[in-house]
Amino acid sequence: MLLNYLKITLAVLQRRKFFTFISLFGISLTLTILVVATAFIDHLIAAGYPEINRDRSLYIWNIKQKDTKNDGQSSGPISFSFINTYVRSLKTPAKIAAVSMPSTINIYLNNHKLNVRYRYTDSNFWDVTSFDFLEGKNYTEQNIANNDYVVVINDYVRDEYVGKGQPAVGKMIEIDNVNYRIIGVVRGCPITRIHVSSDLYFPYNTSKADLKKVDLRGNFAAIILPNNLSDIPKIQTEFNVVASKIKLTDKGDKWFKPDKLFVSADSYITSFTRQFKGDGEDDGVGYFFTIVLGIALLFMSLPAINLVNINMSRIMERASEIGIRKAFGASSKTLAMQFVIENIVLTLIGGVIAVFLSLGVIYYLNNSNLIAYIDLSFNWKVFSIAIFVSLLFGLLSGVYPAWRMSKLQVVEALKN
Amino acid sequence: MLKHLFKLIWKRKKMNFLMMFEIFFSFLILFAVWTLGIYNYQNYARPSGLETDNVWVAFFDFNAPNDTIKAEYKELVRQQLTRYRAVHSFAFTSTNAPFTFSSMNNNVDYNKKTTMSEVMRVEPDFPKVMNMKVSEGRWFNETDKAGNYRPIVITRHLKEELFGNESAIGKTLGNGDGANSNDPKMKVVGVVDYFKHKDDFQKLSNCIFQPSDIWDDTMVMKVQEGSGAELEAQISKEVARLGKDWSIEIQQMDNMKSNRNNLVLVPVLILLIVCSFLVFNVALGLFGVLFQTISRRKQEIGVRRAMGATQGAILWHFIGETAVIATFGLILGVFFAVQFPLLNVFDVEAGVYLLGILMAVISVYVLVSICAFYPSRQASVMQPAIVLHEE
Repeated sequence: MLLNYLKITLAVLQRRKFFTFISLFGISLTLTILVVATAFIDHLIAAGYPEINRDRSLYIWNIKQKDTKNDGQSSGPISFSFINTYVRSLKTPAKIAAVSMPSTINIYLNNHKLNVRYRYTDSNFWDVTSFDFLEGKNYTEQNIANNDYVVVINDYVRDEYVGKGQPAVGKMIEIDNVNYRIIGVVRGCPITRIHVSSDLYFPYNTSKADLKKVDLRGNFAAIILPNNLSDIPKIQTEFNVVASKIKLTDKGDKWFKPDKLFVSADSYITSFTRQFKGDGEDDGVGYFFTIVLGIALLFMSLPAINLVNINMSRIMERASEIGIRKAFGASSKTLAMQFVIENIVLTLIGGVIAVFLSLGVIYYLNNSNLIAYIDLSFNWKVFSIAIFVSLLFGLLSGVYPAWRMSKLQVVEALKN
Repeated sequence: MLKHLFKLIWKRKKMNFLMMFEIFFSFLILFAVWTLGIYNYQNYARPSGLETDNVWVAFFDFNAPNDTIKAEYKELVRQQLTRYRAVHSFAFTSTNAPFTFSSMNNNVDYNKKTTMSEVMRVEPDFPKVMNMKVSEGRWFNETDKAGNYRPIVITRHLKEELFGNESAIGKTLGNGDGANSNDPKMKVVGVVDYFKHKDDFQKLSNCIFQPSDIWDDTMVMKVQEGSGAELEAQISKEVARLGKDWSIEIQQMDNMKSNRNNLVLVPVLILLIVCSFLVFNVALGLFGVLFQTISRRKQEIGVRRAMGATQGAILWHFIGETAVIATFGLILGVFFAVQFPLLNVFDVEAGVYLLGILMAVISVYVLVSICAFYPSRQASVMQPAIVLHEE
């Protein structure tokens, strides 16, 4: 039966080549845009080099203070001392890394300027991430204890500063009048890995800011990597207990006297969605995905209406066929079913074209220098979403014409 | 003729419903694109009120333990910078210097009117560096600091919001906290017409310039034309050497501005690509459907021709019919679109919305006519003898 439907579909598609072209063009381009967008969102959310432990890690980086009386609030990254005092007090075994927010600085070299991003990290940072070291190694606890002025650079800085393919380890690099010894070279990562990407990594002992200063707010993020997945809820509750005991000190600001504090250990995506929805309680993940889905549906609606329109024209053309089949006893349901299946086959063909088109687009984006080091991938997650969206699209645009067709009167249909 | 067309379409409204719906949707998309385009172009076309050529921005981090020491550090920097012949002028500003990513807003009030305004703290040389013109009054100078009032310069947009047609010079403003505030009141000494400090697409906005404070550690400087990385390296090296633990980063304001411009342009560009794809999609669909409908009405065309309709009349009849369908879709679309200026969503002038609606309506008609032209022409060249013979 299904095979029969398929045969009819292909025959119909070949009959009106122009219509087939228009339908397929619309379907495949719509799906391509959706698939590329999905790949990009997946790239932003999913674990990837060098943050391969992202799904098993917890992130603490934003702290929000609220003044419920004056209705004011202020939020920003946590401080290094916050991590040392509160985050490192957690009892559940886990690796805790501290990494600063990125800043930029210019390096000058023979009348040539290199604008680079840099971060300060502790030595645990290299354990929770897994950078590929092209040369040398990372700095350790020992380097920090010795107050060594060392730096880990990425291949971009090496190529620009030392020269392509030349050994960099052991060479000195001058930044802000201070000489640092290059201790390792890592393969760079895209800027979209918000907490780990940088051009230079310094051990925190080289920081010019006073890291011992006691303040909740600062310039750091903490990445917590538990020993096993089952520890995650345990760490979260433990941290919530720690956070609830933090005392808010009055800093003498007469407009802003915070009396409530929100800070939590979240998974990667939640740590962001909590920002624009969460008031501490709601994590905002549902809200975020509702919006993404809403935009996708809105975007799909116009091509879908277009397809419905074209399908309607096609049905009218096949009025005699429908009339005859009805006269011979085919039920409305069978006919409607056939038409929906036909439409799904059409969208799936469009989906296959879209997969190839998006592979091309992704390949182009990865190889162009639009975003350095970007590594979009077409994986099974993206693929299954593409298939799901194709089916949804097929249903969306097939049901109405099928319903209209099944209501066609035999006499009317056979009149012409 | 027109009545006839409307009657025809109305009779077949169920058939044409989908097409109207599609046109309605396309209209909304085109309306959004045109409005966004017109809005941004209008802002872009206004003078920026400042010049970024050969202006550098230096971000200092003194790591100073307290404000007194910071003031001494800043004096050291000033002395050092006057030694460079290639540095024409310089001024310390608050962290929200033009084209940086930070912003500082405050409430100001005058005569019970309260409004939000950007507040930029700058040294008196700031207009010289940025090549800004004061259109009314003057800029504040060092001697103004002595008075009881804090001298300020405001943008024309803020002046009109607070004072309307009155002259602003000499008026005093509160900072939004009412009478019990301890801060000194602000006195307007000058007005500037334009000041686009976020990007070239910024709308006219409120801004207050106040004299700079001790803790302001961002600096703008005008340098000799053609100065490059060499001077930049020299300055940052020699200045950073003046103190322990200093950090300095210099950026070209031109680059900073183009970064900020890209933040506006890139989303608009992506939107434009996606929308033109959608509209192209609709155009192809319309073309196909019209082709189909017209070829199904062969007999009608045959009869019309046989009764004496000319080729031109048939052509115009079908284009007209499509235009009427489009009109139905547009009426619904315009109904929704006029809600934007009526409800004043997004704080955009009504004129921009109306122009957007007008351009979108024209675009839809042009699009529909193009799509209808070829199928209609096919219809008009049909020979009555052949078409009617088939029957």
